Amino acid sequence: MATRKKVLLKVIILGDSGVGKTSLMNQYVNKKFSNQYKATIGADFLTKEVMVDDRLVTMQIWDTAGQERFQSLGVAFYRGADCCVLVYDVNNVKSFETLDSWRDEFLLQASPRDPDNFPFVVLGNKIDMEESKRQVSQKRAMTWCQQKGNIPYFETSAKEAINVENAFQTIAKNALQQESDVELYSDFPDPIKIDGETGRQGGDAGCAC
Amino acid sequence: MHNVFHNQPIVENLPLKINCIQAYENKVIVGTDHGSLLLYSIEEDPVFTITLSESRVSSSRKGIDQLCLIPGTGDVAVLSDGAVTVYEIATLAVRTQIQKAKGVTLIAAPVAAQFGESESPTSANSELESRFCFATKRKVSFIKYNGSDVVLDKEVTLSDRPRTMLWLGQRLYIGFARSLSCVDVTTGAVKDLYSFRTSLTAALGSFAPVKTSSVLVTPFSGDRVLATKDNTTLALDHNGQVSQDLRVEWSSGPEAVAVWSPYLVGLFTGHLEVRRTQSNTLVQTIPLPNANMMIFGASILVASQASVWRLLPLDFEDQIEQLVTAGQFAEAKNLIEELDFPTEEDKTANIIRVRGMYAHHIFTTEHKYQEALSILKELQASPLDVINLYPDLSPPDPDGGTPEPAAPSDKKAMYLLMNYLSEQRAVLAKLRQQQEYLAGMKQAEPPDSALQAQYPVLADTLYLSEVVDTTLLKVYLSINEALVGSLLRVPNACNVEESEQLLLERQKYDELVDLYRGKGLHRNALDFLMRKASSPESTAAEVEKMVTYLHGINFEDNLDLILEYAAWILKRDSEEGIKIFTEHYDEVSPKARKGIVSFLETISEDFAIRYLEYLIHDLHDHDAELHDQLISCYLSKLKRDLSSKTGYDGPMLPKRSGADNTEDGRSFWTLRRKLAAFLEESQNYHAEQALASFPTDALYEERAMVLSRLKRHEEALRIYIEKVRNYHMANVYCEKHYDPDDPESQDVFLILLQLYLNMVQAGDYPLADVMTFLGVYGASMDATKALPMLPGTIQLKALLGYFQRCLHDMHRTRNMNEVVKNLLKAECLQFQERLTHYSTKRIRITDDRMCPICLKRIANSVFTCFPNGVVTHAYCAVKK
Repeated sequence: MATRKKVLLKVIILGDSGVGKTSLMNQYVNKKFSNQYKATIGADFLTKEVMVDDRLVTMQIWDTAGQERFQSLGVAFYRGADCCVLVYDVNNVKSFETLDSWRDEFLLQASPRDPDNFPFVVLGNKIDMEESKRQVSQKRAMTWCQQKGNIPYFETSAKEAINVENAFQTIAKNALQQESDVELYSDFPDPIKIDGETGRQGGDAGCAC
Repeated sequence: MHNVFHNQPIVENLPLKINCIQAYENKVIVGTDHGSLLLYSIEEDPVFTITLSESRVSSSRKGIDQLCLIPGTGDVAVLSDGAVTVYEIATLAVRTQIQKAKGVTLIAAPVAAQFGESESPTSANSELESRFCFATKRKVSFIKYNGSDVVLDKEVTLSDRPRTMLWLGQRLYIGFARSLSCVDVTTGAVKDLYSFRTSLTAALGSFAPVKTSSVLVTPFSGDRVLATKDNTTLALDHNGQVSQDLRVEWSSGPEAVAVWSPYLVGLFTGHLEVRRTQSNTLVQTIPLPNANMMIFGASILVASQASVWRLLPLDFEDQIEQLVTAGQFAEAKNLIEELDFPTEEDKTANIIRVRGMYAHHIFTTEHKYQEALSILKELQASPLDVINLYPDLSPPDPDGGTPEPAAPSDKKAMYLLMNYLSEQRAVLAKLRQQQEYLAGMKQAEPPDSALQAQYPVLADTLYLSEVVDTTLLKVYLSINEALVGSLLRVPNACNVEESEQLLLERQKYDELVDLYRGKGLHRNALDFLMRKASSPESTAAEVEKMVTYLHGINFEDNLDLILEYAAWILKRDSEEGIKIFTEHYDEVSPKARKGIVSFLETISEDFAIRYLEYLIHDLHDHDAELHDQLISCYLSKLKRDLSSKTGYDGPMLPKRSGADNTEDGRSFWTLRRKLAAFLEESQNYHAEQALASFPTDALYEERAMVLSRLKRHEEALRIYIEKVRNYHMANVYCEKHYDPDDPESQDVFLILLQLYLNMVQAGDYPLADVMTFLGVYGASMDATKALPMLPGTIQLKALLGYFQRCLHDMHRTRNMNEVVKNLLKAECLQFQERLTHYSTKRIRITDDRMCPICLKRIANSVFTCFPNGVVTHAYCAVKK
């Protein structure tokens, strides 16, 4: 870590189709928004350099197709992700309810070593729409985020660039944290085995009585 | 090293000296150095027997040098003492002797191009006819033979004396001392194919016993032949092109070479060497004492001077097995790759089998997990095979029996398995989707054929999915517990019984509930949670979990189930219990809402009230039935309070500020206020119905509210006057409901006046108050109706205030109307003036003037001109 080498953060955006994943990414990286809907095919990424705690990092933001679920992108795609961004549309309760399975599927595919502390960020998008159309209250979303281990939650509008910068800054920060943790792990060639073996043997000895 | 052949002695310790042998169908012909021909017959069935069926001693008693089958005849050409004689094989009778053949050194007849498919001499290959040739010094003579007559076909002169000859198809290959030529049988053209250079050893060591061997020719696959000189065997085609992929180096110069694909067999004095054609590796050495000749046809025969052996090849299956058992997987694989199988699939299957065994081997004994899994993945091995590498994780034997608990697998291997299985999960999910789609379509294009070949049937896929998911669960349980929940929450195929047991063992109760939920086993989940909640050490959290669980399942489809458990929860913790219904996010259909209400009513009105209030106030449900029900709930609760407690019954004034400060009192008054507020606010209830359920002797104010809704103002006012005796409220009532435009409500004050007057008559009410009333509200009464109602005894003076008020009011109205009238008139004039102004403006309607709205020509239609000059059809302007 002392060398301060250039860091590449892999961020994956997930969520139902049409919630605005591509728009959020475009707004953040290109500062552009289009009202026209074009379904993403497979996955696509944009990169952006960003300062996190006086450190320049490159964020590689992977936008995925909402329709596809997990079949088309292999396990390899999810491996090595540093942060997962879950997006839903506050005006579409269904897209909120599927967050659970997006999160679970992501964990299963990425199999992080410490799933409970893997950084997720939840974005409730399209808050620019009129209030009467809103189907998911802030309270409900926050309760969910809290239950899942205090996931940071942002209400955003890709259209009007509300909170987008802010949200991605947090994403970058949390991703960087995760990246450092992983590096720490990788200093030891096989940390789990050491722990597991010693723990097991100790446990066996204890159980024998 | 493994065994390819085993040798079977067929003739042993022959007292004669064997010079040459030949095999024909099931017969073996032996030529001895005393000119004897022996014919042996071999019977394989039922047991191997060999009998000497014929023998013949030649008169010359000269040794027999060579035997050569003549194809298509069943005859054999025999070379003895430089002469060629043709014998019939079956009887060993002499057919003919070739007179011209003198000093013959070699004979040859066409042989089958490929070993193994021994060319039966009787086969229909008439192209080869019955031909053979013999070499005399540097000349080769080709003979046509029809069974009795011998005709010299042609003669070809060579550059050197031939040492070996092989007739293959239309070519005769001739080996010389160190080169190889080929004669085209039809044209007689000679072509030099290859020349062996003097080997290094031979050049250097003139002391070394350099063998003066010649070039041996052996038929090989395709149209190639093998040429052997000294230690080296090469493959060449008929153009002399040497195949680069094949070069066998023997330990010394063989005396004969035979092909038994994929092996080469080399004969050395006293032993045989079996080598792999491709890799030149020595596979087997067979010691055969003094063996010095070898012929090959359907099988390979080897002979020494006194014995004949037959080489019986082992089944390739057995060979592979040998290699595998010895752990020589690479060899086994190479062998399979070289072998010819009936179909390509067979071959692939065999390779997969061996590589699979290899993977298994390196996994279990060498602990090269990564490598082993990569191989299996590459082979697209079934996940079952992979899982079987982890005995502690394998699914239980379906035949029952309790296997001994296997040793836990290595963590490192577990991680690999985890990755592997999660990949497989995705693959299987995709496949399942495809197959389900196909099953739905019945007939469709074949799906991804590679995938289909791998897991052909949906049922199989489902079974695999089950095993994969269940195993993945086990893996997670042992190395990454945090993922257990995730697996069980997403659609999965985990085996319920097995998972259930595992989760219980590990006390993963939340995950167990997730499992049940995912499988739709709501009853199991709820029963389990209920047991937990009922246990003495349970906390409120257990009940909360039940509530959360009920929130998570579909209300519509599981209503009965939900209500069943809700009853239990409500009894135990009503606050938590009611949350089942009031903190539920999903939309609940009106029918289900009503069902819930009637269910809650059976438990307690309070619950029903809370739920109804939630529906009506929070969810803004406008269903009349629900509104009615809320009223009826309020009422029945109030009625109960009224009948059960003293102090509330009888006609009474609902005091807005509770006079009764007891708990019951407060709740009673709160409820009454709620009811009153609801009756006033709600626009949805059925007033008549509500009215019917009111008690006759209480809750007058509320009753009045309902009556007002029905516009039965007289009854309502009677309540205020006669029952409640609150005249102020009666006046307020009238103020509120007076509506001069509504025929039913325009006379409310008159009704009240009549009521007051009735009381005056009865002496219950001072007339003066009536006068004041008239003074205040007189303007809201129709004077022509009010005046006749007044009793005649009233002094006009007393009515002065009323009249003043009336007149004043009328004047006010008249003046007001005058002003309005004039204002409107002025406005009308203004409009007329503006219209005139606009009408003076000229508008030009030409043929191509278009209406910008309908985009058609204005033409002769009525048109409108806007102040900004835009001209449209009048019709379009209105429509717009």
